[in-house]
Amino acid sequence: MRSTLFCLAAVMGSTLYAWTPAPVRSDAAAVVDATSGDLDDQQGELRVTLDGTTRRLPRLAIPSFLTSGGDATLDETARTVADVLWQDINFEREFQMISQQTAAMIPPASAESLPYATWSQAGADEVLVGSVEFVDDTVMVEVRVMNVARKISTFGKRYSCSAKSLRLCAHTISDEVHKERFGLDGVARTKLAFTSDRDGERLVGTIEERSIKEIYIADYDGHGQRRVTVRGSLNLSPAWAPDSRSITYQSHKSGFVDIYIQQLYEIGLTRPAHGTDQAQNFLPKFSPDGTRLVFASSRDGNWEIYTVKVDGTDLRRLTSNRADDGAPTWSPNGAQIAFTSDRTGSNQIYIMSADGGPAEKVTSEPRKADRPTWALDYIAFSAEVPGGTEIKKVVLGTRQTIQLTEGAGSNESPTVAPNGRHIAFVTTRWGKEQIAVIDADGRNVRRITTAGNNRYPSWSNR
Amino acid sequence: MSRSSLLSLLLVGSLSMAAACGGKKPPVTTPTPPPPTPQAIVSTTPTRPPDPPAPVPEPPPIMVPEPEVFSDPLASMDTDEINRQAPLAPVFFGYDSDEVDAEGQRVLTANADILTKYSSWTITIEGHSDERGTAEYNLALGERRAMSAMGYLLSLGISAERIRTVSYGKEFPFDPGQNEAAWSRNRRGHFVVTAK
Repeated sequence: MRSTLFCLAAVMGSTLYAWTPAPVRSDAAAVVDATSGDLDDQQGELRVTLDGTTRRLPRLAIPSFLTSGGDATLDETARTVADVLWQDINFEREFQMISQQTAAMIPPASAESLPYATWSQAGADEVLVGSVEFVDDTVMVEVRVMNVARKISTFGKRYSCSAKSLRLCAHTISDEVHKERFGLDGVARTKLAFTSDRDGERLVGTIEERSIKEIYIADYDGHGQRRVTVRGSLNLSPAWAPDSRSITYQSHKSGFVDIYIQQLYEIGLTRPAHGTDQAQNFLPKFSPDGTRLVFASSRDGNWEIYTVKVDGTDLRRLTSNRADDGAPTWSPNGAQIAFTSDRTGSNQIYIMSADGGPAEKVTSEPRKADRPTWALDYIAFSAEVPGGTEIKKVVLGTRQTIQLTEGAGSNESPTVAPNGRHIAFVTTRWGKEQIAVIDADGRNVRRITTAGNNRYPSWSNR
Repeated sequence: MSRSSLLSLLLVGSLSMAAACGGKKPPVTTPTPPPPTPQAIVSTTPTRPPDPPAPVPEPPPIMVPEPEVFSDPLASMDTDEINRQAPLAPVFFGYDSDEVDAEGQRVLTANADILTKYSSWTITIEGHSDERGTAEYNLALGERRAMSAMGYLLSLGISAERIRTVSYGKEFPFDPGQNEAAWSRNRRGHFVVTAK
């Protein structure tokens, strides 16, 4: 995937350099011929969008961003921002993206001198025109989205970016375009956290060969992966605080399992559940308002669901029965909790009030269900099937269950993007356990990790 | 398998291991005042004409204190060395089960005997699962297995203060294979001596 991307960028680059000023019209005609597979239908085809409707999406082109002065660094900067922005906007499926190769065949121009007729022939409904310049230490990026038919600007903004975070710059633009054009909360600035053994370090103090597992974070598209724990232990199941400035996870650091809250951008590590070897705590999740954690604990004999304030006070037990209750998670409004229980035999997903009380079973899997993750109108979960596990979701309004993965390795531990439109999960389809992302309708598998074994993904809230 | 033959097995194992390791502390080579029967068997092993251990006439009732004072390989080891010997055998479980079966009971009974003998040891029982099923579920299953093994030891009179449990779920398979043989080795309660 990544290499295709680079190839594409390379092709685009060479096309750009090879381009010679020629009569615009004939060039555009050549474009239409060369890519007739893409552009044969000027009416546009109907696409199923991620909000579940089927409609014709506006076709968007992102030509190379304009730079002045022929500075190689500036050109590279402009290329990075434009490429990442193309990927970001493509990800949300609100525009039907015109390929960068196609766009590169039309000479870049400012918004004022945009060759609308040419873009119209190339099938574009809208053209995102960008320009980049260096002003002192900052990268100034100006973006305008031009409507080809009406020849007006539908979006226009200037961004002051850091040369060190060009991807973040593009992510910000993408999120703002989606917000302003569609009222959609994009996820280009969100992050993923997960557990990995990729560094191959051995656990100290055991006789057996055991790798440590630490927590890593990455941008939503898999870029910028870095390790955020150095605990030399087994650190599992990270979950983001709503402000994305801290994570909670479970660690075997003390010889037993306890849950921790770790600050990411300052020093801070706490153990709000006060675990001991008699009171072990598992699988924590922050409440949507960030004030409490929900987790499983065996402190009263078997796994039950508890919540506690993040400062370690006000511990509450929510379930009490002989079955194992586990893998809890909050509803987006914080009023309810979904969790697993084997109280009727096999593990199924239940929901209850965030204060406890009666629980309602929402899955009826023939085998086990696990790891609920709650989007606005559905709960995604892992479902055991013959020979492995697949990702499913149960729509809360209708209780309809939809399977999202099938037959490509084993797939488990879903986590939903904050806008509910994408799901990250663990898959063995590429050999070892890797984190992948699919859209909530099961399309567009993207690979996030490549190194080591990776488990327990968590999608940040912002 | 009787308790005495188990003990002798254990001690033979310890001896040969100590010898193989070049012996930091040469154990039990010099014959010493005749200890109770199991020890006597051991001290004859170096020259070993393959004499089957003479059937123990009767289990000598509670002659415990003396052999401990006497040099005992396990007693002289640190916990790392002890754990390399793995004197406490793992207890294995059926698929998706935390039930201690008859074989498991036998293993746990033998482990309880050792824990009675080495009464200062504290242990951790690790609950492990095979790779099948989800990671989160297997954390709970591992916990149940460890608790289940602990419960059986408690029923045999081992003090709860000496036992800790921890679940590793499917995180640390002992055998990376993806077949029933490997899976059955990975579904276990694994014993680690944490202090002595």
